[in-house]
Amino acid sequence: MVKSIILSIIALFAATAVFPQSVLLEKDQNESVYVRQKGPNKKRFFHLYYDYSFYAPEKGTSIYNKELALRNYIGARNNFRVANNYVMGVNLEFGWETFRIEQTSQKTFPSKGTHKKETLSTTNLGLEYFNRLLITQREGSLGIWVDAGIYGNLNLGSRHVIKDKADPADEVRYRKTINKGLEYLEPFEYGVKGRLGYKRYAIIGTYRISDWMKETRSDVEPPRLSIGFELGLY
Amino acid sequence: MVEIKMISLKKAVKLSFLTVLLFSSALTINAQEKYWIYFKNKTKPSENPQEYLSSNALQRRVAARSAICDSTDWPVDSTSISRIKATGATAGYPSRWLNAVAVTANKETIARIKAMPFVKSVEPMQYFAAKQASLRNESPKADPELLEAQIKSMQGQEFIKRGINGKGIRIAVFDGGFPGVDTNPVFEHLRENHQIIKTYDFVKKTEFVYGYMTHGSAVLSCIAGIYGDKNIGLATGAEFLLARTEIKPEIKVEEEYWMAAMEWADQNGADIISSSLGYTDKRYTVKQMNGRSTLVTRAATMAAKKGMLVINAMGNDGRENWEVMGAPADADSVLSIGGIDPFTGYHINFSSFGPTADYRLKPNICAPGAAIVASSAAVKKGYGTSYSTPLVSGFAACVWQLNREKSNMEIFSIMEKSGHLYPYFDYAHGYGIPQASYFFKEKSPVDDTQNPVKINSTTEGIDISVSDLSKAEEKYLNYLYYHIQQPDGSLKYYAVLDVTQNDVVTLPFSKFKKGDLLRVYYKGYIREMNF
Repeated sequence: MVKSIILSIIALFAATAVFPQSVLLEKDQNESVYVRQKGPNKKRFFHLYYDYSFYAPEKGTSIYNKELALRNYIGARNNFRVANNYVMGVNLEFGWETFRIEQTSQKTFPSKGTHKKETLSTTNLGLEYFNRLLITQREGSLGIWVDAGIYGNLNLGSRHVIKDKADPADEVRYRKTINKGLEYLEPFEYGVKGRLGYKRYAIIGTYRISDWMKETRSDVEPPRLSIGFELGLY
Repeated sequence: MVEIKMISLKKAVKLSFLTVLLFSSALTINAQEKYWIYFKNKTKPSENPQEYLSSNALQRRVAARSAICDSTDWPVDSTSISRIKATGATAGYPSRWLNAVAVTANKETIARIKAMPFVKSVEPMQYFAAKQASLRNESPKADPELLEAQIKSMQGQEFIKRGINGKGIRIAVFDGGFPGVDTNPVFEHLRENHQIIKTYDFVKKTEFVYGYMTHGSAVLSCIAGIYGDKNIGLATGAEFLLARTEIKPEIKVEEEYWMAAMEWADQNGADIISSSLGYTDKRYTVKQMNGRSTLVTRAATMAAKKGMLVINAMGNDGRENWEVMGAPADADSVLSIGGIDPFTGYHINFSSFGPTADYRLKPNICAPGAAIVASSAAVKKGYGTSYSTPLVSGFAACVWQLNREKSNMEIFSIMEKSGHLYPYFDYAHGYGIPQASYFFKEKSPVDDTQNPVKINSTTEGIDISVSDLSKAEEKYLNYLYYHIQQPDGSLKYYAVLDVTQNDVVTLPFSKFKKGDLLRVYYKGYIREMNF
């Protein structure tokens, strides 16, 4: 049986074997650099990107941990160059926003009890429109650029995660409790975004204008300003 | 007793910020920029051009049958330059061709200059990022095979055995320095026979050029160097004008030096300008590579009008986003040189492609993009169209020595016709590698009955087939080149194949339109089909 399979494979290869001419060079002028419409700094440019940002702590005491307030997005960007130095663009992105709640004795939100770790997070689908100014003109390269845009995020899901040390009698070290579909979070948020970039690298800033928390819990609204880094994947 | 006042961190940050802001504002206000000041008029200095043009320049124009002189040869009005200087601006090199002077001044001074009645316009000077068309140099080592190949690929031995060495031809080389040209044995014959006629450092305004970047030495060796008893380049008997116009590789270079060097070469009777520099993406877009847009391209065109043969490298952006040539290789009257592998005769992967943005043929011809070149003390292996260009410059000097009665543009034309692929051409090889045998009429008429290429129209499409699969000694002869030329002369498609079977390729009818021409080159034969 095995023998026949091997023989069949050899026969198949022999039948389809073509010894093609070796093409050393092939150029179609319909795809030349003069007519090419797609790519960095061209008429149309599509690429993916990754954005990682920290929320900046706000004045006064916050119930949220300063270091662990994060935005973490991956997105697809469509650029349309409409003038030499001006680009209009749309981003579709998907990502997570996470805020860790500080565990203090004064803690009241979402409950009074303290835990080893406690986080609030949302999974979002976002849409952004931006205007881009190309500061340095480079053929086939973005050079230095500045973006200003507005965005809206749809809250696809939300989680309140509590992590505690398990009882010594339990067979696990930690116990995790997850509450989904948090009622005190807004289903939609919007804000403004800005980026200062060089080629595929950018510093990104976002400011959320809308509230994250519903009015009933506006006392525990998380920070609005985030600053981070974006990497263009192209 | 000194009292130390502590200030808070916040205040310190604010203070630093304000200091930086004030400092940068002050810098901006007093910033000195470079400009071209263009003048409205020029006065003819004399009816006798010998009073303002060198005898060398006049002789060349007579030989080239170009206009003896016109207003672009008249000197810039010195009174106008003096009045510009009186404003406090620093004047640099004047340009007869542009009727302009380069100045350094702040914005206030420039505003005053603009208002002067004799000033036509003021333009900020473009700061070029000149790209040297060389890629890398390997550690000092002679490679006899490569040294032989770089000459043999152009059939340079045909010139050498006849004692043709560019004698009587004057070549100007612009580069970033020529270290070792005054000491390296590769250039000994040039020193002994006083073939270096003049040198000038446009950066430091001195005559010493034998220092700085070795790129110029490597380029000069490809025109005229001799290593041991072997030629590195072919024009070992030519005369040279060496100009230092660059400060460092890959940094901003002022066009002022380049313009001044062009006019200096003209004044000093240069026949050929060999330039291995290109200006690309730091300032321009590919669509500006149309033979009209950039100042260096216009200057190179002007040099050709004055009777000089301008030979320029295509550049090494073939694998980059830029992909095409850099200015001034886009100029119509510049002989633009692409790079090939000296052992295969086929496009070397880094060599920039044509055509120009207005779809004219570039490169015009090509030459080895890997070569043995001089370093400051010995020789080394170098890569780049920087070396293809001077190899062709040396070749061109020999051609011109043989055809002294011809004008620069006639030499341009016969150099193209001597290409090994001619009349086939494409945007990677131009007309191919110039062949010395063309000039000795040893290229016997092609017997078309022996033509191994067949083009047949079948139900499936256009079949290209060959009857001869034997391998020639020169590898490049084994390759099959074909293109589809449109009625306007430009190519819509071209390809190169390493042929291994008789039936080479079937092209679908959809590739062709009425008026198109399919041209195939294989083993020195051409086959064509009109549609």
